Amino acid sequence: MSNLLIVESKNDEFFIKALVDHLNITNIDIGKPICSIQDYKCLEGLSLNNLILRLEAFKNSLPKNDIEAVGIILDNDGQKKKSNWVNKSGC
Amino acid sequence: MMIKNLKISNFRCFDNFDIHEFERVNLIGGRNNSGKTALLEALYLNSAPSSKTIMNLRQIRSESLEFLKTIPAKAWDYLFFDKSKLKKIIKIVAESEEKIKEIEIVCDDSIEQFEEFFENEDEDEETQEIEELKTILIENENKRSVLNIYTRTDTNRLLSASMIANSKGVITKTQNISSFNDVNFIPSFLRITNPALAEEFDKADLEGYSDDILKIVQSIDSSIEQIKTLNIGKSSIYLKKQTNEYLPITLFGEAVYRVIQFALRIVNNRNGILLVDEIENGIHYTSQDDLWTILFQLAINFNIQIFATTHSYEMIKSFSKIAHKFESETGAYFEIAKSAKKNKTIAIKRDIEVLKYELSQEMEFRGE
Repeated sequence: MSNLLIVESKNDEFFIKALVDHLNITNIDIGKPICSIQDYKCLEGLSLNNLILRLEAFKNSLPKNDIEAVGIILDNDGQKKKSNWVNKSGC
Repeated sequence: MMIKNLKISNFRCFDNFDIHEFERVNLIGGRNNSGKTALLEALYLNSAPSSKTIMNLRQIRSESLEFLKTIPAKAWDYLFFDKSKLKKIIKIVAESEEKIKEIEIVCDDSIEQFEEFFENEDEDEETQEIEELKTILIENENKRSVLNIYTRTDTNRLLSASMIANSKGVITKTQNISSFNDVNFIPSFLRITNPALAEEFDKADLEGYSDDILKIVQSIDSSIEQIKTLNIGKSSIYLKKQTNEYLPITLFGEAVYRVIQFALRIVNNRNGILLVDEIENGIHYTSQDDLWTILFQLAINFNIQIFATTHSYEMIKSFSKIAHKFESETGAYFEIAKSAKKNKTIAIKRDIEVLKYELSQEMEFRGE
């Protein structure tokens, strides 16, 4: 059984992975980031739609993996509404 | 009738298995031996619960008739997930918007159903088959096994077919065909014969679909200009390329043969079900988009429901791309996988939007 952390971008993935390794935490996996590099190239970045798709994809993978808990890290970017996106996604 | 949900118990690799929300065109992926072909077989049996279907499935799987004759008591064991019980029962329940159709396949050594046949036969016209059957019935119980197929719709439960495996082969009786749906199973490697394919083409030609079939073939090979059947020795489909003479279809590649077969099975079976195992076989990746476009269009035009299996990442990618061009609920992808917690076979549905996202993110959706 493991715990999964979903992050926003590839950069976040590198940072959190380094942090987890530094803190010597063994039972956390870092999942694929919500956004690909292309999302940032076209300046869209994280959108509610992207988040919904990522969570739907996560739901699809859930039965195949023995995961106890999931965490999602989102950049606030000064946007208060972002913190409500997980609830809004309906997943 | 579009099948929406399917429930399978004690069949092949399925102990208890549910799959929900089928659409018009359904692509099924998963690892080797995950149950993709068994799922098609369950759909086939539910649609055409007959002894012919059981024998077709034996042929498709290359299951030996010699084994059946040598150990007739175990002749049907391969169909069951749990082979240990004396009386074995498979249930396959298909739900559509209009009705629920349940098939029950029961294997034991009872011969009551066959005794009923004697009562129905005219004594003066006793056939050789009945004579043979009587001999088998008095044989030792260990030298036979009986398979009865029942169909239940609403409150009626009717015997559809009975089969006795014995040391000489199989004796079959199909009784009730009123509950059959038009269904066609195209296996991964077994080809239908050239005369059978030519007959299918003639049927389509008679209905005025020969030009449509030609257009479909041209999507795979644009240099083909004409298509017709010729009866030289044996009947066969012949194709004519630019500046060439007519050549038999056997001289063309697997893709041409399979695409013609898909198209003919659809145009000749309006309102039916098409089952295709390993749809990618013989199809070059550059032709896959055209193939899916044809299949989606034909499925809509002829009111056909398609179920196809694949191992191919490229085929799934092409399916996702083409399905996007049609209404959102025309196609869906199903992954057959093992659940981590219960080690049970499960089906995971992906609508086209989520499938496209998972493809773009290089995620795992083929049973990994």
